[in-house]
Amino acid sequence: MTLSILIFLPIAFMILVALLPSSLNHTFKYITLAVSIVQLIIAGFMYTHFNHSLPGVFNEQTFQFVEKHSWINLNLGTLGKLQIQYFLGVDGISIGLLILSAFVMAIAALASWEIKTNEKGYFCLFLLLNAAIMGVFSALDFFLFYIFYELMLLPLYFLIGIWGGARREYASIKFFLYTLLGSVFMLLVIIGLYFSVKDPVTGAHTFDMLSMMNPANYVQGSVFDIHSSTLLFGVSPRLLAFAVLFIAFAIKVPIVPLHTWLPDAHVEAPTPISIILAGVLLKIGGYGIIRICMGIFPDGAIYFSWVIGLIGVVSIIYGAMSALAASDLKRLIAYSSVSHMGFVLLGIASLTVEGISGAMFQMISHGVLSSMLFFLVGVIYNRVHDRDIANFRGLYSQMPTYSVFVFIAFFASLGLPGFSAFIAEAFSLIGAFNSNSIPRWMAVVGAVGILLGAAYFLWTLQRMFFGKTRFKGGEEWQSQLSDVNTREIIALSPMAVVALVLGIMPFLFFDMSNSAMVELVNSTLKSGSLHLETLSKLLN
Amino acid sequence: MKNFVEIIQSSINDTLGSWIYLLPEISLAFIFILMIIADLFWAKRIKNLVAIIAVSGLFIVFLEVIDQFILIPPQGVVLFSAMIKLSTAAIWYKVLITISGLLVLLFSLRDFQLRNTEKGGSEYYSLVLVVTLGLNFMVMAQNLLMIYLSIEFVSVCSYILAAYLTGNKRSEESGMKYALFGAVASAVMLYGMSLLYGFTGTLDITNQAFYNGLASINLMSASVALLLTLAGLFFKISAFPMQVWVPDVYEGAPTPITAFLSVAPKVAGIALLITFIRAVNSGGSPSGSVFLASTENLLAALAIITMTIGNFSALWQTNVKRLMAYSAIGHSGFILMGVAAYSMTGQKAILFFLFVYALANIGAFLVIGYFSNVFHSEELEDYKGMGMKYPLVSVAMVIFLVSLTGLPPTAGFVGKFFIFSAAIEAYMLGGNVLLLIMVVFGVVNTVVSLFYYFKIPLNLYLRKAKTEISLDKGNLLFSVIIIVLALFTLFLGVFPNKLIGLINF
Repeated sequence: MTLSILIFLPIAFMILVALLPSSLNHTFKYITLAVSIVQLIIAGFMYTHFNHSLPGVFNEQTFQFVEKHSWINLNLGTLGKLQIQYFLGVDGISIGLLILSAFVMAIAALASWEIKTNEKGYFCLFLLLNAAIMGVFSALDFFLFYIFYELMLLPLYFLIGIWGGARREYASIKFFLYTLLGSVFMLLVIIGLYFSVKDPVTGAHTFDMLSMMNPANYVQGSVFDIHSSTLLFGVSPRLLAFAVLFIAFAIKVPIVPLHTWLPDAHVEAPTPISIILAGVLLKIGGYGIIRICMGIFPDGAIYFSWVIGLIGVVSIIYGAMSALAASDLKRLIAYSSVSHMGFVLLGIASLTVEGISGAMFQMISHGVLSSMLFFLVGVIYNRVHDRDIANFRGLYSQMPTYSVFVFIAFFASLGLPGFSAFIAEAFSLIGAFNSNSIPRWMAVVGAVGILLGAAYFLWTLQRMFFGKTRFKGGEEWQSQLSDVNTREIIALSPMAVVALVLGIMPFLFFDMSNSAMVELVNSTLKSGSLHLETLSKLLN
Repeated sequence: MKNFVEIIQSSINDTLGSWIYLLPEISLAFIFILMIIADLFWAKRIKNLVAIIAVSGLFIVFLEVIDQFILIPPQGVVLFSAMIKLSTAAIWYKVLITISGLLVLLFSLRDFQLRNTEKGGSEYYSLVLVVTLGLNFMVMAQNLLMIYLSIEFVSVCSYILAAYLTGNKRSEESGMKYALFGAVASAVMLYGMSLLYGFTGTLDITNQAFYNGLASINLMSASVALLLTLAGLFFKISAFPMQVWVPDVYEGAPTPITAFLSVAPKVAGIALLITFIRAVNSGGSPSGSVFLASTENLLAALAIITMTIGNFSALWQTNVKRLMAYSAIGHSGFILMGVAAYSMTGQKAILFFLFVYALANIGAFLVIGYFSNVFHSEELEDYKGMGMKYPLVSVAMVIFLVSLTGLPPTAGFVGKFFIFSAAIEAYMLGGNVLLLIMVVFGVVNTVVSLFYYFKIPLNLYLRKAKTEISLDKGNLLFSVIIIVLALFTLFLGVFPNKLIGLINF
């Protein structure tokens, strides 16, 4: 029940907010915040009750907080029955991201104080988005996962489109179209998978992800059967399916040629939505690649590891270069996200326990840090409605407390030892160095990315915070740029603390995920290479 | 001579025995006559009398149609010496047609333009009932003569309905265009049918002789005859190359009629198309029908072209009704996908898709009607900022559009999912790569359709209203129907098995 409560609590309160009269406008943000705090408490409960020794990943018995109910059973077509389940559960891969989501949503709720127009619509959509995010990380049935995955798009479209900046129309539809393009192709793979996989117990075609991960459940001769020699457009269907799923999730991550929606969406979105986008949404891409692409098609993960590594490295470098060139502070942080998420791909491509643990840790760490960075940008933007780096000088003397938070966030993000990002990036790079599947030079180039990261963060620090206080808006800005208030301190402090705690005590996370990572990597390497062997035999 | 008497006897028995299965259609005819009489004698005294008779009559017909599920045996009954066949599938199509008829009648009750036409509304309501009658026959027909008659029946009445707003140039033009295109289409179809009769010597398309006759002649000649016949059906379901009339007619016709035309004749046309595909694929030979590959390829190709034309043309529309017209063409393409896969997978997916399409499409047109009652415009420009002024209706509109695009958690997603599944399943069973290509096109079209559908919420919510004039409150009846439809769309998206579990054949 825990996971269902986590998912449906926001929906229940969304209905409440929708029904309350608009005269209670000012209470909606408190309701939303209360929902997020309750979710955070539930997440804390799950953290303390999570059994670290159970790996999960492939085996339903070792998943925790499992809920499984029959949902849609149909007798459709000639191939047999179709079975869709309401199937939730968490393991070492998803628990960290679930807790992160609850945390980021609470921060975003605090940041939503800046919303002044049409509060009812805003908070309804916000709560709907919240529910969809929780659902994505807990769903273990592919159909259910897809519903939650698509359900996120709609509220985001309106949240960016209605409460966003000047180019909000363009940014919101671009975001929507990019993600949809990836996900509709994903739908085709899902359909192919369910025709290929049968539930061993009921004998019906199933959307159960865990059944899809077991090669024994595939119908003989079906499209995605390992022993099937059919080709789709001249390619092995399994490899093609991996590529399609990878692209769908990689658009979310985002990877470099498909990243252009991200700067636009981030820059135009209101602060809380930027926080959610960077803090949680991008992680869904990484999560999907690890759970679904690797889990279901381990052969593809090995076959394409070189390409994925290359994409990761290109994202790291290209993201960092673009951040160097950015003149808008928010755009700079958006590009730094591209760069940081590149480490996730690099870690995944390494196919080592260190690498993938590093990738997971990077997602958690970046979730916290990018939320903090976007919150910080929001602070000055709310005060003067400007965020061009060139328009600010010597902010330190004007807003000392604020600047301290900025220093923490910047230094943590550029990978200073003692903060979470350092551990995450170090592990990804160690994984890449030790990897058999990707060449060493990728790790070296990735390390150069950290250097570039230091360059743009420090340069920004120097341009905006040091020197003599001088603003484009002059006296007027000087009076508007007051230091952070209590609410902002309440929001910023936990993020700074979490970044520091995770940096000093990374085992808090690693203990939780380690058994899952070991299981994932071992099994992927074993069955993946086995499948590839079968495949190459079949094709020759 | 004795033999002859026996034949006469049996055919009389057959005819007499058939009437009982025609209860809904007979009722429709009676209600129609009743309406004419009521209009003549009491219409002046009792306001809205005709409309009330129409709505309550159609509701009774709806119950009678539902009742037929119990009445017939599972394999269906053949009536009137194989003129029509009442099967479970046909009853489902009739249910769908009657529901859309009912919704459209309710819709028309409060439509501003219809209420203010000089002719008054009485004939209008009677005509909607007559069209429903014709459509009911269309889904049951399986004799070329019956097919032609029912299609013409529907067409002639639809021409009048499309041009009902006399004095309105748009509406007149629309009726004229519809009539001209329709006349050409039915002439072509009639020609095709005459060829079919010549080749096979039978009018009953389910007769084995029909298939044998077609299979024995040159494939080219048979194809020409079939294609010409199908052209008439393509006109009804607005599939390529018979879709050119759609935008003008949809734009010009009264909004309730546009809603009706975009759903009911399409449902009946698809039902007839399936009857046809079945007939030419019912070859008894173990190797399967000679037409299997060619019908599959033809329908797949037409599906691709139809949806691509519809969706891409919709991108540039600024009039909402015109936009919805192109979207309706796009949707015909989607339904054709299901029909192309039909020979392998059956019609459950198609039927479910038609249901959710009908819900969302009628819903969307209701919202258009609602807005056009309030500010008398159907231009996208004028929708700016209306989302904040009419929140409930606008939210419902977004739900309908999301459903039409095919995104969860609405019924449209499940419908599209079933259609894609059917096509992929057919590919797996038959191995026709064109089906797979068709699916890829379907997917790309989904993304394209998002772009133009979301122009409406874009204007409703993302842009500011041009003027701050306070507008009338919308109509309560409309809002209630709209919200009920939207809730249904959501409900079927989350619990599709509540409907599809009922569809058993």
